Amino acid sequence: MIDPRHYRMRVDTNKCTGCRHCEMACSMVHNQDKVNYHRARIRVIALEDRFLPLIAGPYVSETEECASKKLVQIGDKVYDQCILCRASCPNKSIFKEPDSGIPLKCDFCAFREEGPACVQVCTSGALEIIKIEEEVEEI
Amino acid sequence: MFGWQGKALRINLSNGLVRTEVIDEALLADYVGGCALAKQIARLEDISAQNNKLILASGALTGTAVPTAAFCGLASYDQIREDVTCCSLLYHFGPELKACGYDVLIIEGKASKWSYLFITEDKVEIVPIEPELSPLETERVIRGKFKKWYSNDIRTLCIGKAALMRSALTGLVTDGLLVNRSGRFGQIFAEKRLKAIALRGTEEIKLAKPSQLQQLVTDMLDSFREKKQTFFEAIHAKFVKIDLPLLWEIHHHGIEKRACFACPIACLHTRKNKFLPNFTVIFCFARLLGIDRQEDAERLYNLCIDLGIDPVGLSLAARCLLELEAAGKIAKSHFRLGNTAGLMQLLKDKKAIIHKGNVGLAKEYGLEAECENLLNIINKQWEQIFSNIENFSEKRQVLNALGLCDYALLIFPYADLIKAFSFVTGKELDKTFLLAGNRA
Repeated sequence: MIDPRHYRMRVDTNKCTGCRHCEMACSMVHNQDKVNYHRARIRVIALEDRFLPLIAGPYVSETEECASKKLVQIGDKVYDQCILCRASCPNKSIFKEPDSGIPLKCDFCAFREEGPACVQVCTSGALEIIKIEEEVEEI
Repeated sequence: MFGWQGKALRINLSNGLVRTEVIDEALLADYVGGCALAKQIARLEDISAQNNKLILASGALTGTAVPTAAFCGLASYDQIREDVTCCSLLYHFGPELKACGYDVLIIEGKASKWSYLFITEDKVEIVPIEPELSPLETERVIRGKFKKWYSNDIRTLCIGKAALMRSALTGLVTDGLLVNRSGRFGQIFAEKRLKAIALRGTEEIKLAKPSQLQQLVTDMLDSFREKKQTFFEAIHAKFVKIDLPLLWEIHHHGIEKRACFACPIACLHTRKNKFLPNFTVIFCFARLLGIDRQEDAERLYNLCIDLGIDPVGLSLAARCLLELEAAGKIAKSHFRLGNTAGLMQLLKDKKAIIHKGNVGLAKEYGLEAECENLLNIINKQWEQIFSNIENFSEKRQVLNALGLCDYALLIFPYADLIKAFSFVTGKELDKTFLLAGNRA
């Protein structure tokens, strides 16, 4: 089992092909008997020249000031960083249940021994699960 | 009902009437989906040149998590061949039709002015649009009406300016990708003054045996991951055998891989967000038109995207034109084998007879046998890739009805694909269907 407090998802946008298997897998493990990518907690967003798999991360405190409003360069394109983490923005809950409107949040499939379903089905290598401590040590 | 949505949406463009109809379960059991179902519905609708209906039918597994389940059949009446004809739509359009809550879309009548259809799970809008727009501009206009987060999931099927030339080569473009062999359908869109169909749905698909399906899909993808390298090497070897240097030139320089819905193979390629010609198109350009330079092939393909022209139909028509010129049946044009600029000039001339298409030209000048021969050359090359698959032509028809890609046969056991049907729908595929393939 994965404790979401100690893990993060590493996303390589250069590898994502936009197949949306991650969305389908997420939808299936969370909804049991039906499949619907609009109920997924990971969404593949089509940017100008690439796909960005975006997870609906846990809410941050509303009182915390956003420190991410800057521009980032990916490849030869510049993006507003806001778009990269908007799904976990306290003011803009983007992913919602289509019928009830309840915000969807990624739980890293903490109930599955195999770990997050989206990572398990990603054959392109765009999604990877990493332990935070290890990354800190590497730095 | 599991797997299917069990509903058809009927839209009359003449009077704006929209009706949801329940699809007979026996019909779904017998014809399953894709072209088999679309063609059968076309026959039941008594389709003709006069009523000129368009029938879209998604595959039975389309929109589920089954690998490569992305396809959708589009049927209509072919006035030249005087029969029902069908082509397969790839990429993400079919799954979105299911997400809108429908297996089948029936479009009849003719709009009073150029319009596009915007369909969601709970509404249908017929929205006016400029006919002059290119397919990419049309997509931008449709998506531009919504916020980025909403428009991200809008899927489109458009025609381009070729429609205004009344060209038989008018093809369809879905989310920037040309649909091969869609020539005759673009013309029917134009006759209906239907510029595009845009879909965005949030409906779910119910699964009969979800945990078994999930396990099967995970196993299939695990096995793909393990065999990935070997698979691409095998494909490479097959393409090398076909001896198509243009394919490597185009697909090995600064490209990004793109996948149809739920496809781990990702055989589509883009450069700077523009789709590149796929194997079939490159084969046609090289073998039928004598184009051997990467820049020329890409320039011609970009023009096809811009005008909305079916590149396979174009290659066949251009080759027919050369045959007619050689036989002295028509005056010589600017186009010669390998002369891309001459062909592009011809395409832009709306009076050029190339716009009659290969079938039109063959019929008018008695070139049917030669035309059929050219078509066989293309089909044979495709079959060569699957030469190690027993009963390939029957299996591919079953896959088409399920909404799966031919490439699935190269990587996944056929039995697993059939098993997936059972896990999704809770039904077994009829043995006669499996043996005879597509009933249409």
